[in-house]
Amino acid sequence: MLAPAILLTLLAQAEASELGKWVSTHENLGGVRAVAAMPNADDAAVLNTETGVVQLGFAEKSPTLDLSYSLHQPRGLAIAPNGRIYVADTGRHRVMYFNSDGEMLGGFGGPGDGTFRMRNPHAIDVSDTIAVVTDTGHNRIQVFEPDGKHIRNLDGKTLGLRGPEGVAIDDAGHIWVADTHNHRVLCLDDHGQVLRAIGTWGTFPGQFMEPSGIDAGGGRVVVTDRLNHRVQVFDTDTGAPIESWGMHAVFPRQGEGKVHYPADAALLSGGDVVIAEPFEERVQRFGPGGKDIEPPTLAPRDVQSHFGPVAATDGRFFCTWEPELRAIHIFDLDRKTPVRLATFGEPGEAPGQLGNLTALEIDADRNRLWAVDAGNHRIHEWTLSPPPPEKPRFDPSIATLSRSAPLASAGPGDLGTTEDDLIYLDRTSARAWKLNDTGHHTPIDLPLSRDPAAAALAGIDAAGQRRAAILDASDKVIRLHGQWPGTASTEPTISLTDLIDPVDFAVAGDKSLIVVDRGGHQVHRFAINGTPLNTWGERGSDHGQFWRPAAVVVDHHDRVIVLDHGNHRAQMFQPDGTWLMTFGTGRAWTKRPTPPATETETD
Amino acid sequence: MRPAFPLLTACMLLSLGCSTGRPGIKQSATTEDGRYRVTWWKTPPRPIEANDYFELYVQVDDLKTNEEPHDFRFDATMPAHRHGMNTVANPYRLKRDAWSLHDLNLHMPGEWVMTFDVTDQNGVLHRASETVILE
Repeated sequence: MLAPAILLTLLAQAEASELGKWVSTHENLGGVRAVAAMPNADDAAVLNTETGVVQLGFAEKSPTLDLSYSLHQPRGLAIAPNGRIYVADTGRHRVMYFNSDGEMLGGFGGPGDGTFRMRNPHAIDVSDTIAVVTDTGHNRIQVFEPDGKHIRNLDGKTLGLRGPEGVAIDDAGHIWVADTHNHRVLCLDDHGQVLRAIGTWGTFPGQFMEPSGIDAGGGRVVVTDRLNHRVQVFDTDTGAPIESWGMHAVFPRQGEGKVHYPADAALLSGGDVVIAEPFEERVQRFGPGGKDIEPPTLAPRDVQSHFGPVAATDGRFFCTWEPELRAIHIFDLDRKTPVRLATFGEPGEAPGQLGNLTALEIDADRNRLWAVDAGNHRIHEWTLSPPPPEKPRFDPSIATLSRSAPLASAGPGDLGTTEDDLIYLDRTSARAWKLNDTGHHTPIDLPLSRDPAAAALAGIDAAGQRRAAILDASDKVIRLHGQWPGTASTEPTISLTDLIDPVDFAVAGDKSLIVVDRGGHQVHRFAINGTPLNTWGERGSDHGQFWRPAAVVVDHHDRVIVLDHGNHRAQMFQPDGTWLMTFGTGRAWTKRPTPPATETETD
Repeated sequence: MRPAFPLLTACMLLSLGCSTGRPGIKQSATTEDGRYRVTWWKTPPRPIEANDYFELYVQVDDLKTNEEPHDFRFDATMPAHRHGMNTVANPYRLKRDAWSLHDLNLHMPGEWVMTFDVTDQNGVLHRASETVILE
């Protein structure tokens, strides 16, 4: 079901739009993340974050530059007025710049916490005189000369920035920041003085739900409003809303002007706007010369909620979250189809309110639920009072917040529990932290490589070593620590180099590893010694198909549950890939095809 | 009637509490993790009623350490309605382990959940809660 707030947004945006007329859609751009206006052409350049390739425009014979030789998981792109190409090289915490032939000219930044060091920079914009970078992991903006000489930091603490993802320089030289997890946009002078602040969390014009990309010029600033699935345009002088568009797709994959999780925007010299939609693997162009966007149809009955990209299971429980609502769902898996037991949470910074979750963990024996909240930089713990297994029922009050501790790490990632420990990973500094009962954080000796994206903890082995499997998303490898039965060597590794974007994995009952490949839209199963066992899925929306699957868990019946993020649903399989079920917050299907001959209400 | 001088009222409450036992209806709850016991005295000394202003005197006992609590916050929400009070609870710290709260008002009948959040010196928030049903 679409949230009522989103339906209101749909209706509000159904009015005619001048700027927001659909011009064109460019599809099959897997890995697209950033777009940038090209200074000498009425066209946009596109960055593929998975391949490190920059495409300079969409005209025929537009050149493509393979910059992967010096980039690692880049996220931001800008083309300077002199034609130089600047890339926020997020995975290596720096900015690299190139000439228009793709030859590297230099770079600046680098990992660390010092004055000009960076942590997960997300975006960059460049004028004739300055280059500004969102130093997202440090919650600050850095200002450089275009050749990389550091000028100053715009103090994130004074500004109160939280996870800024987008930045742009307008014609007057003012710096516009998409302050993503404060759900606002700031206009700063080049010394960091706030000239204007726009927005709060919400769906009305002038409000935002995770503003992500931003571009400015010609008296306008354009913002991609990610969780509102729209683009908003403001006057740079007054901050007044000029226009917004973004008719939300009611079916995944709807295009021709329908907008779905836009991540970045480029304002072209001719006035058109180009947006990147990583979720749909496409770029769309809008402008006055385009066509009116067809109004939305009513949502079909099988449309699900926006299942978030994190999940956890233990015992009879399965939980995930819904970013648009900032709410956590808990399901009971021990019925014929999953029964939703609770949905709780709301947006905000107060205790018990949720920012942006990067991990969930649940303990059925202790009736505890934990969430890593990167937006609020905290780890929350709830006590669960679930209904008896024989009488599952929806009860929004089954979760009671018991504790909320500040995170010790700067780049919070996955979360894991053993019988005694609650451990979370810091993806940026590649450290693991243990949170004890008194709320103290202790760094633990868990050997991590540079980007520990996901972890599975499996207790302590006979030698007293902590058994853990860690997925390094950068190196595309799962490293095993401690003694794992069935492995010949100590510290073996499982290579995932054939996968495009492995983001999560789970350990099945037979100790095989189930890995989701978000970019490849598939699930892969490996033996513990690294031998590939089976693969299933393909890009699509039918049962058994995936669209950017984001997480996987294995439940206590040894069923594999894949969070099919792009299709707003979860799917359940046997470890051999046999499809068992598709479910969401409202209903479940246990038989093909769609619509099924039988469908079962879960509430 | 809403008290005109909250600070004065707090001082009176404190002095009463020190001498003859605190006025009001006494209740207590333990934080979910067992770290703190929160005890509160409600005035006027009668059960909370819908849309009736009241005050709380709150004492926080650390059951595991002798650390001074860093902070204390109170709130009340209606989970079924997804909203809270129309008034803002501003705790006034009376001593290291006691606070007073004024101008509290549960303005609607129905189920309210009162939350008592104690933050320790590590910044960890510990929550105790109490459900109140108003008719």
